[in-house]
Amino acid sequence: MSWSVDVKMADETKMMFVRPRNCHSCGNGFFGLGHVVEYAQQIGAWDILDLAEGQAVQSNVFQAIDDHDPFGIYGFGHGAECIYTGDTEQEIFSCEECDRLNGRIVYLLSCLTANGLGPEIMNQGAVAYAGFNISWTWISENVDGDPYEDLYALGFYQSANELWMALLDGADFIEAVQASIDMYNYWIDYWWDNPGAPWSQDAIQWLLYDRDGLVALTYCDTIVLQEECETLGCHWYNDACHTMAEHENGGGGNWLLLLPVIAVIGIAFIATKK
Amino acid sequence: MPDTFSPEMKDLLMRRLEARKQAGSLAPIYTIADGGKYGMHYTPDQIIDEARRGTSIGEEFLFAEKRFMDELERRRKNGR
Repeated sequence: MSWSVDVKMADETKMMFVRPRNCHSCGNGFFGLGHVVEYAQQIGAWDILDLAEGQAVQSNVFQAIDDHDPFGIYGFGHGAECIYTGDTEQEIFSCEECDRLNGRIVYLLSCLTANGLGPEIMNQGAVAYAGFNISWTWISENVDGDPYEDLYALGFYQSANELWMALLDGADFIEAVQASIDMYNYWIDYWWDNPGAPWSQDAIQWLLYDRDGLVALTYCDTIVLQEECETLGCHWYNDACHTMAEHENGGGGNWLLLLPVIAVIGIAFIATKK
Repeated sequence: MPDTFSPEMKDLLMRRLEARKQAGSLAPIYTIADGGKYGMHYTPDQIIDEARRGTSIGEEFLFAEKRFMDELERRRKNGR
């Protein structure tokens, strides 16, 4: 392994959601992630930390991490290359301050963080990171409401949520990423088959755009030697080691060889039933 | 990240956006990034303005339009 810091194992019985509501256009995300929170609570296998609305700010997030040490963190909010923000649109994590994510699996439904913050989160010892290298974009007819009650918004949020839903159902990290991609594909096909809807083309193109902008990083992305990369079942291309195979929309490849590490991620979600 | 476009491709994509706006099939969109002049909610007019001015978010709008054209071509060649 090639992390530049020691990786500490977080508490696998704890899971945290960060879902601001009062930032611009954040209503859909707040309610959208609420469906995942509800599902996790129904399963009942984890202590759920739900930092919602005004609680979704840096001080509360840091305090919750320090106090509870959650293994999984799923956050929604505005982002840029090196910043992820909360309810007040102020920084929660940045490239300069993300060391608290050491030992955790992190999914940020936020824009552009895969271009800077995501890799830095891995450098700080995260077990895995998923996020987007594009401005995650969606269509909604009621941006303040529940996206699951809006057919256009539903496809976007269901696709994004599917990554975490799959983890809750026992998938490992790579399977969960693929489940999300599969859900995007389901909705792309749905709108392809409904060309009479006024915004069907936009739904298709933005679902394609979001799907292809999903980036998943694991320890593979911290390896610098080709031989080690290939020995461990990662993918070497563009002079770098990658979790995902090239040109596969983030899925597939010989990831079975990654099972020793992926199992750590998956088991944490499967085997912590109380 | 979005590719860059040739002037000819950018012109084609701009004409597609404008034609779709005229036809009422260009949807207003939301993002969770603030990469342009208008914030996180873009009306069809604002989408076209950002794309025309070549802002970072405008480039993404063009790239998404191109992404649809690529998918159309892919499906025409390969089926679903």
